[in-house]
Amino acid sequence: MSKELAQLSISELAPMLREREVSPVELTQSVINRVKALDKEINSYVEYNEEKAVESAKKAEREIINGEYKGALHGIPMALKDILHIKGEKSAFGSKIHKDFISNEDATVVSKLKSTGVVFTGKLNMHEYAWGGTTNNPHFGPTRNPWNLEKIPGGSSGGSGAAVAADLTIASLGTDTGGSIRMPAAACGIVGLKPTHGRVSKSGCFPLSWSLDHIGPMTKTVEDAAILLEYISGYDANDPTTVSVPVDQYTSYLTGDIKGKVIGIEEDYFFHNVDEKIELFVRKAIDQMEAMGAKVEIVKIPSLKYAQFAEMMTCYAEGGTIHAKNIRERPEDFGEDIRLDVKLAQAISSTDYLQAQQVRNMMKREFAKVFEKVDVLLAPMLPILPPDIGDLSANNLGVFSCPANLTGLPAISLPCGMSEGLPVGLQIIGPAFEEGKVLNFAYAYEKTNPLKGMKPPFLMELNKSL
Amino acid sequence: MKSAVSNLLISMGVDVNEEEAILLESRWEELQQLKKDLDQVIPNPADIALRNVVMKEK
Repeated sequence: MSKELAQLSISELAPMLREREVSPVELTQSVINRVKALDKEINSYVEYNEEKAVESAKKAEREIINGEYKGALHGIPMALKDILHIKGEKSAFGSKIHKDFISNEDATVVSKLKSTGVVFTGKLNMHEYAWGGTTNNPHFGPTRNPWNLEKIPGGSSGGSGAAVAADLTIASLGTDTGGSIRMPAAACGIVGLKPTHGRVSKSGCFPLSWSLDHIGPMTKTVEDAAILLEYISGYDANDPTTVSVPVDQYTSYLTGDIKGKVIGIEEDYFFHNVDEKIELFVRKAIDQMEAMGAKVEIVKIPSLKYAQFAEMMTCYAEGGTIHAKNIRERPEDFGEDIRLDVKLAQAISSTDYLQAQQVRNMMKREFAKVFEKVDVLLAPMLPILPPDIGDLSANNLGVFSCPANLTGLPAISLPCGMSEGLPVGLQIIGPAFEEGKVLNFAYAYEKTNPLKGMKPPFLMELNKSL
Repeated sequence: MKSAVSNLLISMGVDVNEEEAILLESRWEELQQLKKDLDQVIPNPADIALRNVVMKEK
């Protein structure tokens, strides 16, 4: 059965749009029709505007017809996590407190996407203020995992994860402070990339934790992640954490050749207390990459023992500061789960916070030493399969994701199999600013087609009626 | 009687009800467990953990 337009990737659609085989209007309508038909089950969008999206698509169509083709993203419908400022539009950040907030300027990444001719379809649900990994939002309702509607899609970019998985957006952007791009990517069976800290400007993105936050692509394929990264990366004077490192042509790294490259495996932390089925799939992925010619080396990173201490203290101290006023003046307006975290955060001492930074420094030195010997590290993304919505065992999902936030190193999650009807995510971590290397390893593995073209079952039925 | 962490939060202007006090105490204990043996690995106090990145006007 041929795919409908909304089910295609950026790299499949771009030449069709460029050559005018497909109109941005029919593509956008294909996406919006799916949102109208399917999203009442999934609840990935907090809002969409069909009229505005079609208007924008018509503008893109006119530009392409007039020979003003802007590149791979021109005419591509995208919805973004509701954490990014869009000029003149509401951005609630998943909260009640900011439910009527309207920004008077675009986030830098939004501005960049606008200049590429992207067609914005709407805003995607998230965990309240990005402070959690379930996207069980008390104000906007829970987003449901398209693979099993009783399960969480991960978080905090759960709306983005679910929407990409269900073809309700061609691609999205998420944010990642302790795994919030990569966890939903793993839970929903898509690709999620957290770039190097400082690679992508966070200007106009509501913060959770300044030194841990990252913005990155959430896509159907590794190639799409590389394409999006090319467009959103770069130094920004409005974000002092961005770094003036040249932006690579990341798609040019995608050869699929990893012969002679070295994969590092750290087992004491990344393979401790992980579901045995998840471990099985990750180890099989490692074997497959060895079969492609890569070598495997066991490495040790002792400071990982304190990764969770460093992550919790940093996130609490920085996030707690951001919400210090509101938790005192209007605590009842926070959702119950994050209200407790924000209150507890107020008790973190400066000693705790600064010792956490010392642990981060140790970790950065140890990772840098490891990367003198290996090209990338491979690890599971989640310790367990996505739990039921409302299940409190969802609390420690970020155990394997936080080291890449603490060190700022680039890390990607992509599917490596299915267990109990749910996707399993593989994590690849690389050296700073070597997103090309990370993407190429992911691209090489992706070619083994771990999900065998499977899509969420309930969508397969509903697709027939669309 | 509320726990030390609840009393600390109240002294900082954060409301804590009885139900929250129990949950906060439990979570606070979990955080303290994460620090176990930390003083044996933290490098000497001179290990610089923060950078003063100077901004220059153009």
